[in-house]
Amino acid sequence: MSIFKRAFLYVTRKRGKTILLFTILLIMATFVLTGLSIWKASETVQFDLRQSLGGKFDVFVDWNNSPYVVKETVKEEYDEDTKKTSNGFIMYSTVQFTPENIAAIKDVSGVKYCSARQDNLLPFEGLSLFPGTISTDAKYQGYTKALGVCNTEDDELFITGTLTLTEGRHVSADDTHVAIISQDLAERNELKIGDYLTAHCYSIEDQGFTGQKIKVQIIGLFTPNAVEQFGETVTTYDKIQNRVFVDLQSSKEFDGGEINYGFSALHVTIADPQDMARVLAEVKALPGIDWKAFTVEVDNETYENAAAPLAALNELVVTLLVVIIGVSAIILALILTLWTKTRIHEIGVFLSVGIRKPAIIGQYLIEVLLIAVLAFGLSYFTSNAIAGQIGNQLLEQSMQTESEDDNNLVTAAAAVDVDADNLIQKPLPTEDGIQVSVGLDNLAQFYLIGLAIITVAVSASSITVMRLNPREILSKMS
Amino acid sequence: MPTLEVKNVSYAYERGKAVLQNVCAELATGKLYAILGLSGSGKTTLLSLLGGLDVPTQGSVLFDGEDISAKGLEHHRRNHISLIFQSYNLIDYMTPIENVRLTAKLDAAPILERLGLTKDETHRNVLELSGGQQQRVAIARALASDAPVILADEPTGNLDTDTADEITAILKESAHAFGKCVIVVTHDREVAKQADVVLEIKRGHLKEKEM
Repeated sequence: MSIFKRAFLYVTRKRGKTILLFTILLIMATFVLTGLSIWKASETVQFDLRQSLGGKFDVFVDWNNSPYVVKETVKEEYDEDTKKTSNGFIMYSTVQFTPENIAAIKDVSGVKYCSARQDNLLPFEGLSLFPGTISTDAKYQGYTKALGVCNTEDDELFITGTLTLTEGRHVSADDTHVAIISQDLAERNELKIGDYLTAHCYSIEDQGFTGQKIKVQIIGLFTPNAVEQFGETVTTYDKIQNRVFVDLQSSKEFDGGEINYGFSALHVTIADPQDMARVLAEVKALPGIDWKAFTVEVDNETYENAAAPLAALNELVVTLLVVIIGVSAIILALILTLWTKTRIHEIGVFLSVGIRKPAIIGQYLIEVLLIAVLAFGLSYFTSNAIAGQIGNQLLEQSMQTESEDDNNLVTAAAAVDVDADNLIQKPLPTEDGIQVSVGLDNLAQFYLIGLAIITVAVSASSITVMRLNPREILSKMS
Repeated sequence: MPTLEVKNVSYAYERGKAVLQNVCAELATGKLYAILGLSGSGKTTLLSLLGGLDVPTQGSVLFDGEDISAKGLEHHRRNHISLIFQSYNLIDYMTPIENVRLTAKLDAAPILERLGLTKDETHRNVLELSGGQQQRVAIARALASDAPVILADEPTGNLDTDTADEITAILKESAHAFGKCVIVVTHDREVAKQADVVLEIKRGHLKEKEM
C-alpha cells in the first residue's frame, strides 16, 4: 500500500482528528495570510508613496567654500532718490554646470529629472505684464524673469504639474532663440505661436544695457495649474503668468555671456527616495564635474515624514507575522507530538511489517498536507474578509497620520522659505485608496510558508519516533 | 540448508544478567516450531532477535546462511519475516483487506477467504471483528507478505480454547501448505503439541523437547 493511500485512509477515517487539525490550520492560515496581505498592501502603499513623492536634492555653487568663486566690484551706481553713489559687486563661480553635466546626471539610474535654470531679470519690448501685488523698485518695473533652460520638459515647474504646456512645443536642448510664455500673457499681448519677443541685452559687469537686442520666437504656451500661496505679496517679475522660458543660448546672450556660461544650481528629482544615497554617490562619481565648486542639499524629509507611520505599521506587521508563524509552528508541533505518542502502536505495526521510519514520517507529513491544502484554500476567503476589515483600518489610520504630517510640513516650508517657486503651491500626490485584499500571490506565498511550518512541526513531532528502535516500540505496545 | 540459523547467540539486558546464553538452533521452512518457556525466560527476546528487531550481544542470526545484519535488519524484516502478535496489532483505521494489503505481495482477498472471512467482513473496520477474526487477519497479513518466516508471539493468548485451536491449525497449515517456517512463542502446551518441533528455553539455554 502506498504512503499516499495510507495517509488518505487516515485522514478520511479519523474524522475527529482531521476536523480538529483542519480548524487549527485554518485559524493559523487566516492569521498568517491576513498578516501577509496587510504587509503587502503596506509595501505597495509605501512604494506608491515613494514613487509619487520622489526624492529631491539640489546641487549648487558652494558660495562660502568654493575656490572658484569670484567677487568683483562693478560700476558705481548713482541712486536718484537717495542722491548717493553705491559700490556694487557681483559674485560668480568660474566653474558651472554645463548641459553635458546635466545630461550625464539625467543618465544616472534612478534619476527622474534634472532641471537647471539661469535667471535673468530683464524687460521685453512692448510686453504688457500682469501686475504683482507688491510694488517693486521703479528700476524694475516692466521687468520679468526670463528663465534659461536646456529643455522645459525637465523643468521643475513642468514636471511637478504646476505648469502645463497647452499649445506648441517644449524648448529643447537644440533650440536657439525660442521662448515659451503663459497663455494669459499671450492673450494679454495678443501674441501667438510664431510671434517674436524682443529683449534688451544687459551687461552685468557694466551694470547697463548694451544696446543689443535679441529676438526670441514663441514656440509654446503654458497654463499654470496652481495658485500662488501668498497671492497678496508677489512681485510683478515673480508672477507665474509673466515668466518667459527661453533656451540656454538666448539666456547667455541676454547678459552678454561673459559670466554665466552654464548653471550655478541643479534640481534633481529621483524616482525612489530610498535610492538617495546610491544616486548621490553615482552622481558624485561622474567625470567632468569639479565637486570643489559645489555643495549638495538633500530634501528627503517629505518622504521620510510621510513614510514613517507606514514603516512603523510594516514593522509591526512583520513582527506579528514572525510571531504568528513561530507560535503556529510550536502549537502544531505540540499537537502532532501528542498525536504521535497516541500512534505508537501503529508505528510498531508499520516497523514490524518492514515499513521504514522515513516512510512513516512521510505519511504523517502527507496527512497534514492533505488537510492543510483544504484549510489553506478556505483561508483565502476567511483572511480576505478579515484583511478587508482590519487591514483597511490600520492602513487608513497610518495614512491619516502621514497626511497630517505632510500638511504640517508644507505649511512649515511655505512659512519659512520665501523662494519664488516655493510660494507656488504644487499639487500634492493623491492616493487612489488602499486595497487590502488577499491575492493569489499571497496564497502561493503562504503555501510555501505553510509547507515549511508543517515540515518543521512534523519533523519535530517525529523526533521521538526516530529515536525509538522497533524493539522498544513493540515493548511499549505490549 | 536451514532457513534461519541461530549461532551461539547470547543476549543480556544488563551486564552479567544474560537472558540467552550460547543459544544454537536451525529452523527450516515447512515446519511449525513452538518455543516454550516460563515468563521472563527469554522467549520473546529470542523472537525479537530472529525477527531483526534487536541484535544479539554475542553470536549471530543467519538467514539462508547470511548474517541478517549484513543487508540490514530493516531489509530482513521487510523481506524475510512476518510478525504475528498476541494483541493482533492491526491498524485501526483500515479494513481487514487494507490491513492485509499493507505489505502484501500476494492477492489479499483469496487468503482472507481461505482463512474464513466473508467478503462483507473483509470490508468492515477491523475493530468490529471478533478476536479470532482479527488474529486471522493478522495471519492473512503475514501470509500475503509472502515472507518465508512467520514469527508469532503468543498468537492464541487472547483467544478462547476453540478459537485458539483454529488459529493453531491455520498456523500449522501455513507451515505445511504454504511452506513457511512458522515459529510460535507460547506457554500453551496444547499449542505446542501441534508443533512439528518443540524447543524450550530454560535458564538461558535452548533445548529440543519431546512432547
